[in-house]
Amino acid sequence: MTSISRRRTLGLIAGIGLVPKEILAADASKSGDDRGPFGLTWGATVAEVRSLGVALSASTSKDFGDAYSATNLPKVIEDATAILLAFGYDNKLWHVAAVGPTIDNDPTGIQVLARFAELSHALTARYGVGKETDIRDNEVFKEPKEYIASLKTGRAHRYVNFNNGSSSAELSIRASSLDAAFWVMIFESNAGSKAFEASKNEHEKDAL
Amino acid sequence: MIRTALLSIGAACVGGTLGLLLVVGIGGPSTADLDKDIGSVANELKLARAQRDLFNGGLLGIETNLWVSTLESTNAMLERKRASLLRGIQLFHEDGRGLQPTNEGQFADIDGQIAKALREANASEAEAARYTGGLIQSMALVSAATSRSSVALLEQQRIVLRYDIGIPDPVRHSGSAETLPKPAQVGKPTSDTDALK
Repeated sequence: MTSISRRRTLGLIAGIGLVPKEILAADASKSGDDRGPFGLTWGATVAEVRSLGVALSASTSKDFGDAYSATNLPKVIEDATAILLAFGYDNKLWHVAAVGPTIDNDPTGIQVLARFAELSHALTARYGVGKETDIRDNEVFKEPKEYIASLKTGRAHRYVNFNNGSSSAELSIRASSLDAAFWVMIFESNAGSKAFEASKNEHEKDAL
Repeated sequence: MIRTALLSIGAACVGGTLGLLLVVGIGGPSTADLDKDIGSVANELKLARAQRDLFNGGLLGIETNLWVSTLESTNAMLERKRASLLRGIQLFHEDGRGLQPTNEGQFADIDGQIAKALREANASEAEAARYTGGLIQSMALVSAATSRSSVALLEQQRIVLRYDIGIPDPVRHSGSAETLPKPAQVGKPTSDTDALK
């Protein structure tokens, strides 16, 4: 389905009230959109991000190139507790990860699932409808009160992926114990991701 | 070569003994004391559970459930203390201070309260035994169960004192917004939709 025909189809569905207006707005976003989350811009350098007043401290994680733990961002989700920015090997922001607070004593996951739904709605407004994956454990941790335990042991998975053509986002629930969990959001610039993969290969060749 | 090996074994034995003495010394009462208390609590728990199974509801059921729950948490405290001694893990209170040695003088008051509650429980049970049913027997049984719960709570308090077991601070763990530490400020908070624009 082409972009125009998809927009027409969505427009028709919206006419009968099935699709929120914000989803249409997201669909209509420009394919060359370089807006990242939290007031950041994809492709920005470390110096440019610091010029926004953001405090960066180097992270030991090198999975996504040079990475920094960020504070004092221009705007953030209210309950985010940590944000990581990765600039690859060419000093261009391409990957952002945000982590929510650990919600303790919630074996059914009711609280973290409620927050997951809210964040999923907000991401839909920005990136369009996502693809949700909800794998449940039907054998061992199958009781409702064992849901977080099933996530912790890798017997269940819950995440939703978004992609608006220029950037992608993933929202997931991770468990830190058998009854405590938190949300994680990962944003990536599609162009930045391709550039990082290419430079990563070069980087690994050089290392060898 | 043989002399060196023997010296090494000797040094290891002395080191191991010293390590064991240190672990026992830090923990205060020995694991034998703990095992004795664990056994005593287990017996009482068996009795309490049997009583609970007799009364499945009502005020009597609630009282016996409280009795069982108190004993179960006492048992968990003792098991934790025993495990910490065996594994050489030093336990700390939430305020960061280490565990303090036992002061025998602290027990006089609590022992007096335990003796009083036991007398009341025994008197109530004797009163209940005079009847074969009815309201008076029920009230006497409730009174006995309440006294047994009090005894269990006081014994738990005694064990906390004896082994200086750190217990969670209920205010700190109440979960209210006022008492919980605020999350690290990673930026200017805004609505979810605005933050993602």
